[in-house]
Amino acid sequence: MKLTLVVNHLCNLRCTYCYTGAKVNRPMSEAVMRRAVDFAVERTSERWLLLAFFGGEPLLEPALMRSALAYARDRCIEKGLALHTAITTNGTLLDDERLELLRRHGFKVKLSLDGSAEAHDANRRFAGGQSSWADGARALERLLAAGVPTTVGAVLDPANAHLLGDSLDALVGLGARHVTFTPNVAGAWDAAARARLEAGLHALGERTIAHLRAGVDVRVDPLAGKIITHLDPQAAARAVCRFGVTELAVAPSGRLYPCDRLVGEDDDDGVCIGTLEAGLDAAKRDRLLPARREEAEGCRACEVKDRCKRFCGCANYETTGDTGTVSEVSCFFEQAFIDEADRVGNVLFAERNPLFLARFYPRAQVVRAAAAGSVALSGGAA
Amino acid sequence: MTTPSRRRRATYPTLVLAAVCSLGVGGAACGPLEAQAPDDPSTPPAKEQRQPIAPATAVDAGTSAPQPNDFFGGGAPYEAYPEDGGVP
Repeated sequence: MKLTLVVNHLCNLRCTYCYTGAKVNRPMSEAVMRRAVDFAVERTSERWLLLAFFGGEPLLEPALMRSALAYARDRCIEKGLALHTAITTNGTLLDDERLELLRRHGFKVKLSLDGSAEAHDANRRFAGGQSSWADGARALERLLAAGVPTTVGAVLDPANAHLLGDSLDALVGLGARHVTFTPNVAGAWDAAARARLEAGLHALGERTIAHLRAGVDVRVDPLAGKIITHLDPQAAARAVCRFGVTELAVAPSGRLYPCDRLVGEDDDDGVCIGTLEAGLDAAKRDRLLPARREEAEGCRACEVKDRCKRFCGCANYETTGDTGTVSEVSCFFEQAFIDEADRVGNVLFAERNPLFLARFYPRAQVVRAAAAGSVALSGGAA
Repeated sequence: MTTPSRRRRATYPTLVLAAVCSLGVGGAACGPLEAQAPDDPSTPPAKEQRQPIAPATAVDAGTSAPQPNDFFGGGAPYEAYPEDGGVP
């Protein structure tokens, strides 16, 4: 089970697109943390517990993180579970002590950094209005230098969509080798913003191609994920989130949510699926499960429906107020991403780019035809 | 929602097609793939060396470790071969 602890609603940034609501200082108590870990450890059907930290800004609460790690470790040993750890952070508070905490406990980090300074500061500023880019960029460099597996999470917004190519270059320049661009689906995506997005997406594809041609092995999502949905028609179905089933988020109050993205200000009874005290309301959770909904009429004839993430209950809820109803803006993004992914895939496969082949056809032997300087695919055991 | 009008088609092969083409039994379906892949004279005959690329299999619900998709969600498939996965 993935258990996400929202350790505080407070954050030192004031990102314009933030979906977590008011930045109030409401930390999770030690008692709630312990009950949450107990709850997950007792319920998990897997042989592992993934303990994830979220906020607000979770690095505001290093003491609680430390005790959660120690407590979860003990409970996992008792139950014979493997403990895995993850955090989503803006990185601006990453001092030596916090870096060592993440390194020592084997964290996988998602660092929120929107790309170039211009793209980032369009939305992600400190509470006082100052730029936060340099602090985030420095955090990325330090995490990578310390060997902490780090994915950059960049938000794609109407204010920075035209800067996508520059943003990828900036992040690659800082050493990032996995970047995930996620759209702010609640943004004002009017016709002009969509045109900027499509141009930006094309630039992102071009820069992706250029980096791979130059031998820089960077994974850029959603392009990579969409390429995979073409390679393997079952891939998107496997990636459907575990929304309240094997994934659970706990607010500082002890209220339960199917995903960290739905906690917000912890005041929406529509998506709250129980409390640590009263337990999980499984019937309510099941009603919210987007994957169990009937396919929307507009999706039935769509030729890329099996490649899209219409099952993202959070994105659906954010845009339509219903976890099972896909919005027109989500549909626009999915189509745009798939189109650009296929363009990039077509180009890189046609030229037998070695990094492309190694990433997407990992069980194929890459045979270099020395004389022709070209590359062919041949089968081979992985 | 709208029904998309696709501006382009994927011409890179699916994993299944790549496996078939690697075996040299894909016929016309593999035309563009093989046409751009000159044989390496030092490579043994296909039937002796080449094996199919196994298609991806379903994730085992009881795995001992979370799959890459479990870490930060977002619905983007991380690997076409989930059992090989691992966040870099």
